[in-house]
Amino acid sequence: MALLSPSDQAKLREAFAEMRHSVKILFFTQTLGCETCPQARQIIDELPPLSDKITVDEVNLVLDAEKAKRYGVDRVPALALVGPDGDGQERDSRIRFLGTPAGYEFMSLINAVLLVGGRESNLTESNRKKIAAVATPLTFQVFTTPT
Amino acid sequence: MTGVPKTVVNDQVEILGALPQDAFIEQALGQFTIDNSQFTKG
Repeated sequence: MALLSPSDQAKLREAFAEMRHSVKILFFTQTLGCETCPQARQIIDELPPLSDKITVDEVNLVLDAEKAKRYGVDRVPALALVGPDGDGQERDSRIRFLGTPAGYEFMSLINAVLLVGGRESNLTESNRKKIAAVATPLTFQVFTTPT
Repeated sequence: MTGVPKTVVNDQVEILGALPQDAFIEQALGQFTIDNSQFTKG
């Protein structure tokens, strides 16, 4: 049974229709000891039917530890968003979601997918220049609740 | 952790709550921009 209502599905289809690039969602999970992984997978599985530009690949944290390490994932459930680079090759967006993207975080996930898919951010020109002036690699961690 | 959303940048900067874009950029990036790093290196 779908989690999204038909009207929400229609709104998301409309939003995803503006995507210019394909987005792959890497879903990191493990078979045992992850109580929330099935719920997270159920949520993620709502997206590919709404756009042919969205795919989901499952990565087992234990069985494919090397890939998990490459993406910096050491707990599950986790998501990594992968889009194309300028040559159409896969490029890690470096956006990660740790935990189940439920509640308000579902919309955060949708916005992240849209950004990786080529939607313009709403950053002002002034702020773009400030970001371009950053001198060191930065890691942003955003803590939220799923309610 | 006392509230959400809480944004942590490089384990050095903490921003509690949702800020307008300009304020967020200023607080999140202020100490990491080229100009500021040159300034602090003096």
